[in-house]
Amino acid sequence: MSGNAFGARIRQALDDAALRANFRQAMGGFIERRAAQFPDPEDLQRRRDRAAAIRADSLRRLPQLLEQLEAQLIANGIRVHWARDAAEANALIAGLLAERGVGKVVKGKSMVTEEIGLNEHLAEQGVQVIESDLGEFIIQLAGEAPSHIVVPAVHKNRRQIAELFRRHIRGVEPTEDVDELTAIARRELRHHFATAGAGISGVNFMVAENGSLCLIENEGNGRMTTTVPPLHIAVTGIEKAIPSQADLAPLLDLLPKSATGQPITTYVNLIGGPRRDGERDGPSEVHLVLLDNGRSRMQVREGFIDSLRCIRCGACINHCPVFVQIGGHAYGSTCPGPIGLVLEPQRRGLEQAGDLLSACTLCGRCGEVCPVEIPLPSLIARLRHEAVEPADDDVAALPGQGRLRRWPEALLWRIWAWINARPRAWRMSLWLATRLRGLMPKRLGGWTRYRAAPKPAARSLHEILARRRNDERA
Amino acid sequence: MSAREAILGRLKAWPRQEMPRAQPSRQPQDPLQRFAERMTAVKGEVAVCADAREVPAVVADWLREAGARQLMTGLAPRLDALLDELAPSFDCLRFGQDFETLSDLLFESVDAGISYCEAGVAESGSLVIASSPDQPRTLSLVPPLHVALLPRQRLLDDLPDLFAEWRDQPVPPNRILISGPSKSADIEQVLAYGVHGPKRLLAVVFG
Repeated sequence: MSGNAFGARIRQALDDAALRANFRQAMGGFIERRAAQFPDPEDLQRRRDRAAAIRADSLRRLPQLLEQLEAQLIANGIRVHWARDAAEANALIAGLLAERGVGKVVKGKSMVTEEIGLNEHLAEQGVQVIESDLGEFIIQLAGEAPSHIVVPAVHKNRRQIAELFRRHIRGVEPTEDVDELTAIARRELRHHFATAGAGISGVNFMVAENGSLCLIENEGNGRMTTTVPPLHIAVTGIEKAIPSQADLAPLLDLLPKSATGQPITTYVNLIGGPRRDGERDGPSEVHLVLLDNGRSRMQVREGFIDSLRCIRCGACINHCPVFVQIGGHAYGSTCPGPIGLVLEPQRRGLEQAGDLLSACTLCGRCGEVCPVEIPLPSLIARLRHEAVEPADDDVAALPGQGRLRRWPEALLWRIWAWINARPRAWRMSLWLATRLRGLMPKRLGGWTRYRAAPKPAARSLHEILARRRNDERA
Repeated sequence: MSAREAILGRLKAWPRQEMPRAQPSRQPQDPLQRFAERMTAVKGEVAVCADAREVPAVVADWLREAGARQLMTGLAPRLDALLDELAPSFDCLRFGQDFETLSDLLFESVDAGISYCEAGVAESGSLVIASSPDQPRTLSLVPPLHVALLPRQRLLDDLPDLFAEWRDQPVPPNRILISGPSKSADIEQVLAYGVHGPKRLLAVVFG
C-alpha cells in the first residue's frame, strides 16, 4: 500500500456524505451504551485490571497453555491443526472440505478468516461460502469487506440494504422495514444451514484446562454454524487461549459491555466436542485450526506482546475520532481503528502498513476504554518512531523499519532539537521568529487548506514577563 | 520442522514475569428478582410457578397465545408429566431420532422447543442448558419459540459461581448460556428479534 492509496481512500470516504452520516450515527450510540454499563469508574478500573491480568498471564504462559489445550481438545474428540501462516491455514481447511466432498459451507462471523482471505481461497476451489451473520450476509451480497469488526455492515443504511436484497434474493417484496428485512435474511439462510456440508466459525476464547471452545453471539447463526452441519471447523489465532473456565467470567463480563453496551450476549456457546454416542444432534466432527500468522513474533520487541491481549470488542474503534470520520474501509486492512494501527504494521511490516499510523491524533481515548488495558497510544507512538528511525543493530526490527523517513523532515527535527538544547540559540531563534513574523507565509500546503496559518506573537513570553517585571520595579 | 514445533518453539523463547490478580466485586440482591429483571430487559419472558404443578397450565397458555400448534422435547423422563398434560391441546413430538432424519420437520414445521435447564444465572439473566442424549441442542435453537424450565433452587448468583460449580466436572459436548431471544442490530443499530434462533423465549422458574 502506498501513502497515496491510503490518502485517496480517506479522501473518498470523507467525500461520501451518506457514509459519514451512517458512521456518526452508529458510533455515538455505541459510546453512550457502553458508558451506561459502567456507571462506577473505580469498579470499571478494577474489572479492567482483572481482565488485563488474565490476558497478560495467559500470554506469558502461552506455550504451556497451548500444549495443555491441545491435549484436552484431543481427549474431547476435537482434532487440532497448526498453521504457520494464511496459506497453510487455507490449504488445511480446503483439504478437510475436499476430503469429505463438501461443496457448500456456512460461516459464522470470524475476523481470522478475513485475515487469511479464506472465502476467496475456497471460492477458487469451487466451494460455495455463505456468510450467515446478518451484517456479513449483507456485505457479502454487496461484494464488500467488513467496515467494523463487530458490526460489519454499519456503513450501510436500510435503503441500501433493501436495494441489495431486492437485487440479489429472488421473490423479495421491496421493504425498508428492519423486521421484514431481518425476516427475509432468516428465510434465505435457514435453507443454507440445513443443507451445508460444513460450518466454519471463529473462537472467542479457548479454555486450556478442559479443552472447550467459547463462542459468543446474539443472532444464533454461530450456533447454527457449529451445530447443524456434520462438520465444524473452528479457526482462530493462538493468542485466544486462557487457563481456566473461571477466567472466562471476567472476560465475558467486559467483552459485550465494551463492544455494544450489552450486559451479556444472547448466546454463550461452550463447545466441548463432537456429537457423542447416543446424542441426536451436533456435528460428527469438530476441528480446530490454530493460526500463528506473525503472532509468535509479536513479543520480540518488548511491550508489543500486549497487543495480543486484544479480545476484539471494538471499543477502541468506536471511540476513535479518526475512525468515526473515515469508517473502516479506508484503512484497507482486516482490523481498522487503533488496534488495526498496532496489529497491521506488525503483521505486514512498516513498508506495507506503516501509512496507517498517520490515522491517529494520539488523543488517548482508545487506551482509556480498552477492557484489557492495551497501551494503544504508546504502541502507536512507538511504531511511528520506528517507521522513521533506522533500526538499531541490537534490536529486532520490523520489515520496512525507517522506510517512511523523509530527509527534509528529519533535518528539520534535528535542527529543532539542536536549538532547543542550547539556551542562547533558542533565545536567538525566538527573537528572530517574533521580529520576522511578518514573513510567515499565508499558505502552508495541506495545513492551511482547512486552517488559518499560524503567526508568531510580536514578543516572546519571556520578553513580556521581563518587561512586566521591569515595569513593576519602576 | 512441523508448523506445531515451529510455533511452540518461538513462543517458548518468550520472557516470563508475574502479575497480581484482582478480586471481582459483588452486589447482593434477590436472585429471582435479578434474574427476571435481566431476562425481561433483553425481551425474554419469565413465568414464576411456586408449585411445579402449575407449570403445564402456564406453558400451555403461553404456547396458545404465541400461536403454537406443534412442539418438540427431548426424551428426558422428567418432561413426561408436562407432555401428558400438553398432549390434548398440542401436537407433541419427541426428539427420538437423529437430527438428519428430523431436520425438515424441525426447520419447517415445529413451532416450539421445550428444554430443561441445568442452571440459571441471576446476575446475567442467563439460562444454562447442557446437551445430552435426551436433550438435543437444536431444540433451543431451530424452532421459532423456545420454552426453558428452570428449578428455582438451581438459580445461581453469577457467572463465577457457575464456573466454580463446573470446576472438576467432565465437559459435556455442548453447553449453552441463553439470555433472551435471538437478536441482531446489524441494520442501522435497530434491534430485531428472531434472526436465526427463536423469536420468543419463555423461562419458567418453578419450585
